[in-house]
Amino acid sequence: MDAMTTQRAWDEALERLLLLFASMDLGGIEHRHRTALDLIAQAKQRFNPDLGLSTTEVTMDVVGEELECWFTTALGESADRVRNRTAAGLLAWRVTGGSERWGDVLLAGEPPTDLRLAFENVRAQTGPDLTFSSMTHREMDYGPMESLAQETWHRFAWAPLLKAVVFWTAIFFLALAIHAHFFHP
Amino acid sequence: MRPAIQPEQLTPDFVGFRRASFFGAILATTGLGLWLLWRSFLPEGISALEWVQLVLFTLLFQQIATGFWLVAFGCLVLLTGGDRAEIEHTIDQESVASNAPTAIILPIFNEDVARVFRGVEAMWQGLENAGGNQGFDFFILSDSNRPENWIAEEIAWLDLCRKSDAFGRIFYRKRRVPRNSKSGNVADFCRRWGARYRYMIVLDADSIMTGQLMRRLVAMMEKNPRVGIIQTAPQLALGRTLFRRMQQFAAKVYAPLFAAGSNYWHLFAGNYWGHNAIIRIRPFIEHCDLPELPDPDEKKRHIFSHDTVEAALMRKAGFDVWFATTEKGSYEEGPPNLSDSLGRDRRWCLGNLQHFWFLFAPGIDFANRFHIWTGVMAYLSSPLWLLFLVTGVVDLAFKNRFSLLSSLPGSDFAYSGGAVQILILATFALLFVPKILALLATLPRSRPFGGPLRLTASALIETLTWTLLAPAIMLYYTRFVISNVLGITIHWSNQNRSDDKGLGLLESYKIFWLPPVVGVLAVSALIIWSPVQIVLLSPILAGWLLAPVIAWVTSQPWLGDSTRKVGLFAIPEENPQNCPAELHHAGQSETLEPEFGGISHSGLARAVIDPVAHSLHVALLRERESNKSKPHELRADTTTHLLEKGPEALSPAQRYALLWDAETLRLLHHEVWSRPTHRLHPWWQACFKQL
Repeated sequence: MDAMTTQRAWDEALERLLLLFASMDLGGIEHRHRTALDLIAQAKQRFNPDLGLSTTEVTMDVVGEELECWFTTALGESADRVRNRTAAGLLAWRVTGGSERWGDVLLAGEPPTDLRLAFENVRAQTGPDLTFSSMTHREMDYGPMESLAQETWHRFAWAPLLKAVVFWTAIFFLALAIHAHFFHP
Repeated sequence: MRPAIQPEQLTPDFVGFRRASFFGAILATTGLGLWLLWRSFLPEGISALEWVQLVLFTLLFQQIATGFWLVAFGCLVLLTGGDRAEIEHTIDQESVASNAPTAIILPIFNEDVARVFRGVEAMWQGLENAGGNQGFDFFILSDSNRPENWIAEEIAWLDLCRKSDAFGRIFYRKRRVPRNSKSGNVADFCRRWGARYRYMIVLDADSIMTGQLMRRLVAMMEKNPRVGIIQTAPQLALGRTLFRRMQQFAAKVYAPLFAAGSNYWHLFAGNYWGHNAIIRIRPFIEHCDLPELPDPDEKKRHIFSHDTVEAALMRKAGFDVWFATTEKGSYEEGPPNLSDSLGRDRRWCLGNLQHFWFLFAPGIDFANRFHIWTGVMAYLSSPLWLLFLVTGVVDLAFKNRFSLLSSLPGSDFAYSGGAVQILILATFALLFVPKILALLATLPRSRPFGGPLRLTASALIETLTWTLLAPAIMLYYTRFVISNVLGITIHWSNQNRSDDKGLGLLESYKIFWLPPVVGVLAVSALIIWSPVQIVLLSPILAGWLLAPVIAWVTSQPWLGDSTRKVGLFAIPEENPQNCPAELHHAGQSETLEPEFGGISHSGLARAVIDPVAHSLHVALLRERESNKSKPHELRADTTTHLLEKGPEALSPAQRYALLWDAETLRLLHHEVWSRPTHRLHPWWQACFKQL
C-alpha cells in the first residue's frame, strides 16, 4: 500500500468514525473529533497490513472495545443483565438525554456518578412484569343451525347445487311464460 | 332533570314495556307494509314472483322500520329531557375515577405511526390535565408486519416516553406470532398483563378519548360492579376530504338520535363495537375468549369480527353491557373515500356474516341476537334489495306487457286501490323522516353547524349524495356477501386513514367499473323490455352510472377544504373553541420528512445502521433459543450476502425474519460499520448518507 492509499484509507476510517459518533449523538463536534483522532491513533498502532484487515475494520474494533468498556462501567451492576452492553449503554445514553445532561464525558475518562445512577434505572420494557392469566376459549354450542350444517355440508358440493338452481330457474321461467301465453293472451 | 334510574332499579316490567313498545312498533309497521304490498298484488292474483317479493319485502321492510323506530324513540327520549336509565347518570357530572388500575390498549397494524403516537401523547397529556394519570398505563400492541412501520413505531415510542417521561407507563409490545388478528392481540395482552389491571380501555389506532372521559368511564365501572362493558359513542372527526366531512357531519347530526333510541330498548344489554369502550378485565378473561366457528373440515375457524360476540359472551356470563350515549369526548376517524370505506366494509361484511352462527346458539340474550341480526342484515340486505328490485322489475314488465294486450284500462297503481302509492310513500317516509327528525332536533343548536341555512343545505346535499351512492354500495355489498358465502377472497387496497390525496378520475373508474357496467346493461334491458320503468328507476340507474364520478369528487381534499370555508358540513369540533385539546393535538398534521430519506427498505436500514434504532430494536427483542442456536456460519453467510448484494438479495419474508434475529442484526451492525465503502453494496452507501 503506498502512502497516498494508506492516507486515504485512514481518512475513510476517520470519516466513518465521525459519522458513527454523530449518529450516536456523542457530545459536541469538538469532542467527537478529539475522541475520534485519539481512537484513530490507537487503531494505527494496532494496524498490521499482513492480517488482511482494513483500516476501517481495525478502527471499528478499537471503538467497539472502548465503547463496551466505558458503557460497562457506566451501567454498573445492570451490565450483567444485558447481552450487548454497548447497545444497552447507548440506549441509556439516549433515554437519559446523555448529550444534554453530561455533554462531552463519553469515552473521556470515568463516567460520572450521577450518570451511573441514571443508567441503572433504564430498562427497555415491552410491558410491566408478566402476570400470566389463562384465557382459553370454551366450546360453544351453536344450536340447531350447527347440527343442520354438520349433517349437510359433508355431502355438499357447489357444482350440483348450481346445476339444480339453473335447471329449476329455467323451468320456473318456462312455466311462467307458458302460463302467460295461454292464460293471459 | 328527573331523577336517574339506577341499573339495579330496572324492573322486568320497565324493561318489558320498553322492549314491547319498540318491537311492537317495528312489527306493526312491517305488518302494515306487508299488508299494503299484498293488497297491491291482489287484484290480479299473487304470482310466484310476487310471493318471492313478499318474503323479501318482509325482511327488508323490517330493517328500515327498525331504523325509523330507533330514531323515533330517540327523538321521544330527547323531547322528554333525556333518558333516565343511562349508565352515565349513575355518577355525578363532576365525578372522576379513583386510581383503579386501568390499561389503555391500542392494537395497531401498519398504521400511520406519527398519527398513532400523536394520539397517545394527546391522551396522556389529557389524563394529566384531567386530574392525573395515576393508575393508567398505555399499551401500544403492535402486529405491524412492515419493517418500516415496526422500526418507526419503536423509535416513536422511545421518543414519546422520553418527551413525556413515561417509561414504565407507556409500553410498546410487538407480537412475534400475530395469531387471530386484533382479537388475538387483545387476548395476548390479557394473558400477559391482564391480571395486573381491573379495567382496560380499548382504542383503535385512530381513536381519541379525552382524559376526562376515560376517568369518568373508570368511575362508572367502579360504581357499577355488575357492568362488564361500557361502549361510548365515538364521533367521527378530523376529516378533510369531502367524503369524510360528509360522514362526520351525518354522524354528528343523526347518530345521537339513533344512539338514544338504541339505549331506549336494550338498556343493560348493549353492543360492543371493538373500540372506544371500557371493559372489566376479569370477566373478559374468564368468559370472552372467542370460540371457534363450525367448519366442515374440522379446521379451527377464527371469528373475524370479535366485538359483537364478546358483548354476547359478556351478557351470557351475567354482566351488563351499557352504551354511554351522551358522554362527550370519544372520537375516531372515518375512511377518507368510498374506496377505503368499501375496503373496510369488505372485512366487516365477513365478520358480520360469521355472526349468523350465534343467532341460534343457546344461552345468548335476546338483545344480543337482535344486535347480531341487525349486523347480518346490514350486509345481507343488499343482495336481498337487488333481488327484490329485479323481481319487481320483471314482474312489472310482465304486467305492462300483458296490460297492453288487455282490454282493461288503467295502470297497476289503479288496480291496487291506492295501496302502491301508500306503500311507496310509507317507504320514503321510513327512509327520510329519521333524517328530517334529526335535522329538526339539531336546528335549535345549529350555530356550530354553520347556522340553520347551512345546516339544512348540508343535510340536503349529504342525503342526495348518499341516495346516489346507495345503489353502487348495494352492488358491492352484494358482491362481498356472495364472495364470502362462496369463500372467495376479494382483494381490496389497504385501509388508508390519510386524506391528503384524493383519487384520480381514471383511478376511480378503474376501481368502480362495476356500477356503470351494470347501469348500462340495466338501461339497455329496460329500453328493450320495459321503457316505462326507466323514470321510476332513474335514481338507481343514475347512481350506478355516476358512481365513479361521485367517488372521485367526494375523495378530493380540496373540495373538503372548500366546503369547510363556506361553512358546509361543519361540526362543532371544527371550531377550535369547541375542540377538546386531545383531539386538536392529535389532528395537528406535521410535515414529516420521508422515513430515512425515503430510501427503500428503510426499516431494515434503520435497524442495522442507525445505532440508536439498532440498540432499541435489539433490546426490545425477546431472545429466543432457536436464534441463539443458529450456526454462526449461517449468520455470517446471510450478513455477507446482504452487505454485498443489498436488501433485494433476500425475500420480503427473509428480511422480516431477519428483524427477529437479534444475533444476526448485531453481526450486521458491526460489519456494516466496519467494512470499507467499496466492499458495501451501493444501497448501504446510500443508507449512510441518510444518517
